[in-house]
Amino acid sequence: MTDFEQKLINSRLEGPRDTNSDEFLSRLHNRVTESEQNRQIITASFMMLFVVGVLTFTQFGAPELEPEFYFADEPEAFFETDFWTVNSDSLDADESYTDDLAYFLLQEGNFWETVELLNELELEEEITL
Amino acid sequence: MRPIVRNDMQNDHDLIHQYQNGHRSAYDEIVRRHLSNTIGFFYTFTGDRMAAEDLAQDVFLKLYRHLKRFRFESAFTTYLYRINVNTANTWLKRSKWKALLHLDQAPDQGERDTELEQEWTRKELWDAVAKLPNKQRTVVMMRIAQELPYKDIAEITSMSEGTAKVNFHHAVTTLKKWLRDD
Repeated sequence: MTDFEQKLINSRLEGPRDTNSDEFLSRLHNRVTESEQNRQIITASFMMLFVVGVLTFTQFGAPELEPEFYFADEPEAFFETDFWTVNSDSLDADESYTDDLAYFLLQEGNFWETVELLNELELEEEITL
Repeated sequence: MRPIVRNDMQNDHDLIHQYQNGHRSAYDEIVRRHLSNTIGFFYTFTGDRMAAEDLAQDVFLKLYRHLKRFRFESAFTTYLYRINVNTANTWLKRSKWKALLHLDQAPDQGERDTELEQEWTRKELWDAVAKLPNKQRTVVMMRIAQELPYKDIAEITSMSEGTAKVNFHHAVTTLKKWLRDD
């Protein structure tokens, strides 16, 4: 062992011998209790966060809202339509619309008006041809 | 010199068994048994009784949390020394940063040991130790603060006895250079 090593070891301080172990233990017990309480609070907080996260993700308990009216769910179809240059009434070209109208007139008992409507449609088709 | 006391191993293990079975008084007994050594270890490099006691509190708090998982594969003292060394390492690193950032409210000049006529103070020594690489610092702490034999240091740090000696030698050379001790 060199002199310097010996100096290092000699620089060692003797620890205090008169430590009151009861007082030390009392302080230690307080810290243990505090630490356990902190741990419980942290665990409870994480549990709460987890539960809230799960409820948010699954939307548990949220009412299922059925739409009461129908609408075009593709906004592009609406926004991309140039209404100024549209010449034709889209309803004219819609065959199902005229069919529905004819059935409605029949159900209402307007037989002759139905015939008239169908004739008009036929006539229109012939004109366009 | 304070080698790892193997005669107490059985008793320590008995107390730990009791603690693991829910007897908190067994934990108190463990604390009482090792309190003086633990405070002494920290007092060597803090030079401050209150700081040493606070660090000892940290050690026993860690012990309280982890002792339930103690696996009885080594002597309890080895386990306790590991906690001591880790806590000391953390303290030394923290104090190194405090010194760098000048956070010490009242800079402690340390006690100049007139008997040894040393050019360096205890604070300077431990400030220098704090700057050593981790392994060297650990070995130096155990050699200086506890005067542990290399065999025990090797067991605690899980390195070979030769590695412990080499680390101590490198550390001493570096410290000598830093402290300009001729």
